[in-house]
Amino acid sequence: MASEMNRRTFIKATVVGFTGLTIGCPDNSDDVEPIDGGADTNGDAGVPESYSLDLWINIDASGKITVQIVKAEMGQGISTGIAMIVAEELDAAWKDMYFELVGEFAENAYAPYGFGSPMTSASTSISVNYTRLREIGAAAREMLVAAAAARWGVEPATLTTAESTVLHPSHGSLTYGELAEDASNLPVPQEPTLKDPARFKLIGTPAHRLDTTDMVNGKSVFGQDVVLPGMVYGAVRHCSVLGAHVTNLAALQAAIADTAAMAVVQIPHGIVVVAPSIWQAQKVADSLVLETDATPTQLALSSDSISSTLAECLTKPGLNVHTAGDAPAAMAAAETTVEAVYEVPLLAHETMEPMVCTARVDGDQIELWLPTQGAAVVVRDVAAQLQIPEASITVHATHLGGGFGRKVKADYAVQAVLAARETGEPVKVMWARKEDVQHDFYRPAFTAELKGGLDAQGNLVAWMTKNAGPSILGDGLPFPVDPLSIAGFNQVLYEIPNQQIDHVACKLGVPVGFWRSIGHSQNAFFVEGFIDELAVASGQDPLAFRKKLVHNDPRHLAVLERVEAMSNWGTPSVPGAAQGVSFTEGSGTYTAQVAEVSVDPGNKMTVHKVYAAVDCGRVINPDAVEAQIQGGVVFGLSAALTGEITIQNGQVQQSNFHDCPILTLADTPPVEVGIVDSTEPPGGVGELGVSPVAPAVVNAIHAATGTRIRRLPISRHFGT
Amino acid sequence: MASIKINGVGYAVRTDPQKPLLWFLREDLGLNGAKYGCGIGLCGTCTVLLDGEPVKSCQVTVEEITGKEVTTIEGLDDELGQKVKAAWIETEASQCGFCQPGQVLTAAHLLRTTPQPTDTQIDESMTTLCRCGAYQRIRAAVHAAAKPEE
Repeated sequence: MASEMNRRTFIKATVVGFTGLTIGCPDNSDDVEPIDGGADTNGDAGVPESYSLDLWINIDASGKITVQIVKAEMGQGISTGIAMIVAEELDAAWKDMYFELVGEFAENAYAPYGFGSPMTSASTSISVNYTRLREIGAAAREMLVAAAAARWGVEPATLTTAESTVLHPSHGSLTYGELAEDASNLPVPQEPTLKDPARFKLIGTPAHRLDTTDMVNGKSVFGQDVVLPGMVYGAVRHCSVLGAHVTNLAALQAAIADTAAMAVVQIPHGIVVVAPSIWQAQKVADSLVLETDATPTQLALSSDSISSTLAECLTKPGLNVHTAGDAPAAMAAAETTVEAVYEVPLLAHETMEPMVCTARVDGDQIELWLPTQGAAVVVRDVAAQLQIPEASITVHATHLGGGFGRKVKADYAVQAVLAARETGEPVKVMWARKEDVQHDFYRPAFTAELKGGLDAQGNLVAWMTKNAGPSILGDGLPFPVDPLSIAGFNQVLYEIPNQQIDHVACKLGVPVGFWRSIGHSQNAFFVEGFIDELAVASGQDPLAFRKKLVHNDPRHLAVLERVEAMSNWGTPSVPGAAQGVSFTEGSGTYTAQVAEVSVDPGNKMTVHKVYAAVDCGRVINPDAVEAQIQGGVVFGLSAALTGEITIQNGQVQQSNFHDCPILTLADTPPVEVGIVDSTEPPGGVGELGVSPVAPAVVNAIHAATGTRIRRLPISRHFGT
Repeated sequence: MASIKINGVGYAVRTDPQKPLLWFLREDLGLNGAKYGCGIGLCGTCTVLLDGEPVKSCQVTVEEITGKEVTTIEGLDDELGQKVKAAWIETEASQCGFCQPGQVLTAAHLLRTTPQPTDTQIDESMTTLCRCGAYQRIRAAVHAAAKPEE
C-alpha cells in the first residue's frame, strides 16, 4: 500500500502513526501507584496546524520547519546534517529547524526527491544525497517565494529570502509559517535553482545537533523504548550452534505451564518466550533446554577450521580484479621482493542497544517499530520469509542505540512478527547481550597474500596481491566479485606501474554482514601494513615512501602532508614512543592517520595518541566530522587491540563485554582530527576513522619493537 | 507493600520484590532513560543514583531499594545535574545517545564528590561503555561541567 499511496498521504500517515503510538503509558501501571508528588505532565497543549510541502518538509503555522528523515539516526548526526543542507537552500533560520524520523518504504517512494539507497550504510547518506537535499531545500524555498508573490501580487524575482522570511522592498515581509499553507498547495518545482556555494552560511560551520538535548535527558526514543498499549515481551534464545534449529518445541511449550510465560514461539534458529515482563520472559527462556538438529558439519566449525579454510582458499587461483602493466615480469626483474600473509578474525558489532523490535499484527496488517538501518530491507525480508505482501507491512523508525552495520539485517524483525502473530498481542522482542554477541552477522574473517617488488632505487615497481574471504552480499550477484570483499584492495592509492590483484571468494559457514567500514576494515590493514613492510625493507621512511608513491596526486599528497605536520612526524609527543602511519580512501574521503605507541619491557603496549587528517570534500558540519572520526578511531582501535570472535564446536565462545571487551574511556587515547579544506563533492565520514587505525598502530609497533604484526588482534602478540 | 521514592515521588509497590530495578523503572513506571545493555552490571547503560550513589539498576532488586531514593536521568534536574547536562550539550558529547543517561548520572555523582576531578579520577569513575567511542568528548564535558561559573 505504502508504495502506491501518493507521497503526501504517505508522509502524513507515517507521521501520525509514529507520534501517536510510541509515546504511551506503560501497561503495567496498575502494579504501582504514586502516593505523593506525582504531577500530570500530559497536558494537551495547542498544536499549530502543519503543512506538508510534499518534499519531506512540514512547516507549521508557527514557523517550525520539520525535515522528515528517511535515513537511520544512529549517532552519526545525520538528521542534523540533512537539516543543515535543507536549511541552507531554504534560507531557514537554524532555530526553526526540527526533524522527525520516518520509516523508509519502497525505493520508489523517494522519487524524484529521493534519498538514494534503501539502506543507511557505507557512509553514503550525505555523499549520495547532497545535491538532492539541496534541491529539496531550494524547491521548498521557491514554493514559499511563489506563495508570497501571489499574496502580494508581485513577480517572484522581486523577492528575497533570509532567516525563514520572504522579503519585498515595499510590501515588507512574511514568515515561512505565514506562507506554509499557501505554499503547500503549489506544485513542486522540478528544477529549482541552487545557491552559489560561496553564499553558504550554514554548510561548513559547526552546528549543534538537533537531538542532543533529548538524548542527555533520556527522552530520545530508541527501539528499546517503544511502548504499545497491551504490549507483552519476548525473550529470544537461539540454538547455541550456529545454523541449527530447535526440534523440541512441544516439550518447551509444555515446560512453561507453571511459569509466568504465555507462549513459546518457534523462530528460525531458536525460540521466543513471551511473558508480561521481559524479566520473566528472560528467566523462563534461560531455564529451557533446547534440543536442536545441529549437523556434524555445523558442530565441526571452529576458529581453527575457519583459518584452515581461509589458508586453503589462498592457494586457489583467484578472480582478477585489477591489472596494470606486467606484474609477474616486473616482480621477476625486481631487485628486492617482499612477501607476507595477513589474517583478521571475525568481529562482533556489540551495539550498546541489543537487537529489539516491537510488532503488532492486526488481521493482515503488520506494524513494526524498530531501530533499523534499512526499513526497506525489513519490509522485503519480513514479506519474503512470512510470505505476505510487502504492502501489508508498515515500519516505524526509532533512534538506533548504535548500528555499525548490524541493524541492516531484519532477523529480529521477523522474530517479533512471528511472536506477535502467534500470541495475537503486540510483542516487544528483546535480545539479551549474550544472544547479540553469539548470533551476530560478523565482520568476516579474511586473509591476504601480498607480494611487492622494489627496484635498485627503492621504487615500488610490482604489486601482486590476493585476498580471500566470504562474500557479505552472498550468492547470485549480478557481478563476478562482491565489491565489498575487495573495497580498498583492488584499487590501491599508490602509483605502482605493474599490478595484479586477485580475489578468492571463500565460504566459511558463519553468518557475515556489514561491519563499520565493511571491506575496508580488513583490506586497509592488509595493504597499509604491507606498504609499511616495503618501506622498511627498502630502508625508506614510511611516510616519505607513501608521499613518493602519490606525488602525482595533489589531493592524496595534501592529506599525507597534513598528518605529517599535525603529528610532527619523526618526533613523537611522548618520549620513547614510536610513530606509525596509514593512508586510506573510502566513500570519497581520504584519511591518513599517525599512531603513537610505546611497548614497555613487560611487552605491554600503549597507544598514546592518534592523529587523523581527513579530506572529506566539502564539509557540512565540521563538528560532526570530528566526532565521527574520533569515534571511528575508537571503534577501530577496539577491534585492532582485542577484537575477536572465536568459535568452538560450532558455538561462539564469547558472550558479553567481559570476554569481548571494547575500549573504555580510560583506555582511549586522544584523537586529534585535522580537516583538509576542500570544495570537492562531500564524501562520507561515519566509517572513515575506523580502518586506518589498525595499520597505523601495527606500523608503530614495528617501529617501536621490530615486531611485525600480520594477524589481528594485537592482544595475541602484546599486552594491551 | 514496599515504599520507594523515585525522582522525588513516593510509590507504593505491588510488583515482585525480586524484579530488577531496571525493569521496574522501564516496565512499571515508563521511565525509559535507564537502558538494558549487558544485564550483568558491566556496561553501565542502566546506571541510576541510589541515595546519590551510582548503581547498575540491572543488578539491584526492587526489594533492595525499599526505603531508599532513586534518581534516574529523567529526575536529574538539580543545579549540578542541569550543569552537567548543559556541558554535555555544549560539548556535543553524545553520538547515538544510548549510553548517555548512564554517563551523565555518573558524571553528576563524580562532580558532587569531586568538584574538580583530574583525568585520572575521570578515568576511574567514568566507566560506562560507549560503543560510538565518544569518550574524548565525554571527558571534555566532565571538565567543562567542573568549571566554576564565570
